[in-house]
Amino acid sequence: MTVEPETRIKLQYGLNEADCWRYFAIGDERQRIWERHRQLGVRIVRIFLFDKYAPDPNHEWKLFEAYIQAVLNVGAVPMITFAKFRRPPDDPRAVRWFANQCSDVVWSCIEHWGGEVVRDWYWCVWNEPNSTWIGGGLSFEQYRRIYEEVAHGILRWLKSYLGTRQPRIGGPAVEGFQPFWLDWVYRFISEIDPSLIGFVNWHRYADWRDTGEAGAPADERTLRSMILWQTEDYGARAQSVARLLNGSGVLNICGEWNAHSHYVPAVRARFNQSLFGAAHGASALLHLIRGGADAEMLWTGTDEACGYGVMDKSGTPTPLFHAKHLCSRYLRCGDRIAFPGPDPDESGLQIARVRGDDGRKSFVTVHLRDEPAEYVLADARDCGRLLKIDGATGNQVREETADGSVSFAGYGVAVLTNE
Amino acid sequence: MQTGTLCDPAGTRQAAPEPGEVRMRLRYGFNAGTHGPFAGAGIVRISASAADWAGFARLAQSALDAGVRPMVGFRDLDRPYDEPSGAKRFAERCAEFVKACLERWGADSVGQWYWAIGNKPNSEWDSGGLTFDQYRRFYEESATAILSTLGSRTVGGPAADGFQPFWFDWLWRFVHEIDPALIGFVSWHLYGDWREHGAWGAPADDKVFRGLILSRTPEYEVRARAVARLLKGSAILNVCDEWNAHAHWDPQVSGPFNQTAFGAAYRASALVHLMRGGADMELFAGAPYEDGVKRLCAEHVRLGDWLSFPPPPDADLDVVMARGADGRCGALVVHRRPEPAAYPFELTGCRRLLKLDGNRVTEAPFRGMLSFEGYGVAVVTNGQGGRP
Repeated sequence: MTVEPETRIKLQYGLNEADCWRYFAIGDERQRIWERHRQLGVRIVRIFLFDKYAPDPNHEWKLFEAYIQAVLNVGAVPMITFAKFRRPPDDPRAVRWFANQCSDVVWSCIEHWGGEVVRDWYWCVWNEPNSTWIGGGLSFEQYRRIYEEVAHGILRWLKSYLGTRQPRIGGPAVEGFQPFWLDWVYRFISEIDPSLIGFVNWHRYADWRDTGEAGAPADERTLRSMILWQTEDYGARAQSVARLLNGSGVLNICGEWNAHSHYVPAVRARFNQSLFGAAHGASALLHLIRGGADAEMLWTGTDEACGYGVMDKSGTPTPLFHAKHLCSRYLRCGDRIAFPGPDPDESGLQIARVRGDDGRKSFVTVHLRDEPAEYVLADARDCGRLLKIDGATGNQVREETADGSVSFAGYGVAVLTNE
Repeated sequence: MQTGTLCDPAGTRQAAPEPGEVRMRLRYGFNAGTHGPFAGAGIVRISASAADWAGFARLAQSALDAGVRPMVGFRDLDRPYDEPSGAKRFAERCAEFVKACLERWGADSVGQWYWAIGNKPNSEWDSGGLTFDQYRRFYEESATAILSTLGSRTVGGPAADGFQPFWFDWLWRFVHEIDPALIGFVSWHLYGDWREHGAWGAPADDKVFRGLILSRTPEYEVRARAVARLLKGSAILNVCDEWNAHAHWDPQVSGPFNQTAFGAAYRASALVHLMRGGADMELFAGAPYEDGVKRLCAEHVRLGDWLSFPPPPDADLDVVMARGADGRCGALVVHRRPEPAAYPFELTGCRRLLKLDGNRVTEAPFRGMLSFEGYGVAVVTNGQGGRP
């Protein structure tokens, strides 16, 4: 068994709470949803303003306050995304107006929660500006003008609380299907004053096509295999962004991701809210860790018939919730991680070995094939507990005693641990 | 940068790799059917043309005379693509062409050639509307026909256009859905960009645009690695069969990117990343003129050398060190910035400095400092050079 050198995990876990924010913020089952967030070890919750039916802080302050407070109640900090405006982006007055809107939100938050709290929040300028569908298809020059104006507006109020901290302002929340998506990251960090940048946000979904659509394979099994084979791309993209950041201290954040983003909820749900989605999600997390991402925000947390969420409006989890939960429990920030063989392409099993400074030792494994399989991990014989979700555990994590072997009924995620 | 320990003038350690070294497996080539000189290339891609057999024969002969192996490209699939007899007709034409080559050059030579089916089948521009399932039919029919005529497994495809969002699907499906006995190589294309300044979201500022394009050369490594992963354990070759800095159709636009010091730095950087990524073959998309970059690479980073990639002292440098069987060792260094810069550089026993000046290679004694006036490519070596 060949073992790579160990590195320290630096990935912070997060979620987006967007279109279905009401259930998260003020729904009847919000306490249960918040508990789910805590179980996932969520440190950052990305929320939206000026889009996605989000409350308008100027007219619906109480709702906005509840939205933010829900994030704080789960023990996380918000990443407030000033998603867009609908005025002409080339009009300097429109840009100034938008920057004022954003700046007013920051001022109100400082007034309400205090500068010492608010200085740790994240502020994301725009959402997917390179996508005509989502962000309006801005040119980078248009986006840069908006970013600079908004960032200066945020700093007007925040600066006096920051001390030597880098402001946690960032963008461009770039959509990853576009061929030249990395241009935006390059230009973002090359053409904007570095003192205005705290993080780079990039998005990646594995696919948006249904079977047979726009050149996708007609056979679902083939499409699924192809999607799972490409989870390594999360790591490759994280590394590409890290290379451009070149140790500057700017955070490398995958701010939106999931297996599928088809425009019909029922289609994407097949990929996202199934055991396939669980295997894809756990595999993607391992690659994000390996690629050196600083934070991830899965799209999304709470969901009502949207085809994305890891839980429904009453907090009932999907398989991906359980997979993410296993990852956040056993892949903790600061732990040492290695990726031993065998090659997942040949074996069908992706393995991460994790060691805590306190003697904790775990093997997080992802089964990437929709067929039964059994594996023996010789180095995991001293890991006496097995926690697993697969086709035989009925959408829950089942716990068993272990001796280093693990079997899967189709796609699955399992942890062998000495804890 | 301290790199001296990797050099071994006596050649005593050549047989075994040092920790971190990999075997050089990249074969150099050109994707342009013109007469030589071939500047260190081992393969040249030539389009099959039955209509201009004499022209094809002249090109192929000129390659063979230079010791260069042809890759014959069958580009134009019969339309409409969904017509069942189209794939059969195409396959018959391919087989007839191979037979003609056999008659002219004999089985010993032609059996070593490569045969490429299709060109950018995933591009709406080049192959409008062709689906993978349709392409597969063309490929299977023609590969079967060529192999039964020739008997050697040197047929490949799909020459996927790397600008398309789901380009990798084509390679994945090519490898998974076609009988491996019909595949000798898998091919893919990658250019730095295709846009003019300020068009289609490209930066209007030349300096920014150049920096952007050069920042993308590691993508050659990422893609080569992804394809190598797909082919692991098989004998199928991983071929980047069309690449360059810029793909604009108008030379007024692409020329300043491709045929300048910038283009040389881009090419050298891309080659270093193709080596790192484990590509087996590259066919540079440009006329095989006396290309200084290719010449430096062919002379100083050779097939079978042991390669290492020490961390460069600056993010704008690419470095590959090569150690050969004959005690030859050296480093190829690429400077990817337009500003002048100098770096201390130590390589035991290497006293020769070769630098690219325009398209000419100049030579000077090396005294421990590597300086560049801007974009640049240099080799520090103990070797004498000459054609491998």
